[in-house]
Amino acid sequence: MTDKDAILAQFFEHQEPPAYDATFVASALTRAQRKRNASAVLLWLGVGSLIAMVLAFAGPQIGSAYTAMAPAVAPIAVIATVLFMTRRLLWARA
Amino acid sequence: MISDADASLVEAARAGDHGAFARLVQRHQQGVRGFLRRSCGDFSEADDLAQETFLSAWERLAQFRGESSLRSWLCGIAWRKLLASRRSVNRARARDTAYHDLSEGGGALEPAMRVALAKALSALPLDQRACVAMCLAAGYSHSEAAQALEMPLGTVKSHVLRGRERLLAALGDDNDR
Repeated sequence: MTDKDAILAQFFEHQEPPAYDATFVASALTRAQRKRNASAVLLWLGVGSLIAMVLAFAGPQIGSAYTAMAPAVAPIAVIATVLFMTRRLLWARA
Repeated sequence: MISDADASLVEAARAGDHGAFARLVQRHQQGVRGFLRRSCGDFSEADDLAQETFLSAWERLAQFRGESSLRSWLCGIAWRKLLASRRSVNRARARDTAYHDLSEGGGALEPAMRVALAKALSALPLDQRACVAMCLAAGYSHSEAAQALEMPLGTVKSHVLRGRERLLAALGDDNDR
């Protein structure tokens, strides 16, 4: 390595950010969290729209199917459906 | 190849562990920001792009197959972010003020030398600058840089060689290469 290479190395070294930067990490995490929340909202809006569409077309038939179930089975079916739909969200939060 | 520490953090982050992602950011922020600072010249723009890089990495962790080191994979994302920002009209103003930061904080270096190097670095074409930033400044191998920057190996080698020559030439005529 020549003197000039050493100067160059010194020049590059002083552009190096600190090895530990809590502000940067916190900011990156906040942005990631915000993005994730925005994605979750969009996902729920999409899922909600889909459910509304399905209910609009097949609501009466689905209602009849639940009515036809035994009184104890219908809530279990509803809870199972909700848990199935939110499993990813619950898993991520755990 | 990916290190064991990175592999376990990536695995945990993929499962939604924010703490693991925070540790990944902490481990690699210096490398990614350093690469961007040298490649784009504007420290605040570089840090902004670094944030976007980690955001993209967070979303694309599932696509990371561990064939390269995590650090060079992140630099690849950072490089594409930088190219995209250069194409954006909104960043034009930031480009005009680029390299002001490079002449700051040069430590023990003489100010004239620092300014000369900053000017020489800013005069390099973007591709060449990125190769110099990865190989000369951050110590990546030519093949790692070629993979991260998606450039042929020969191109990277020639960029590094020419970039180094131009930077050393900026230090004056008493050439001791």
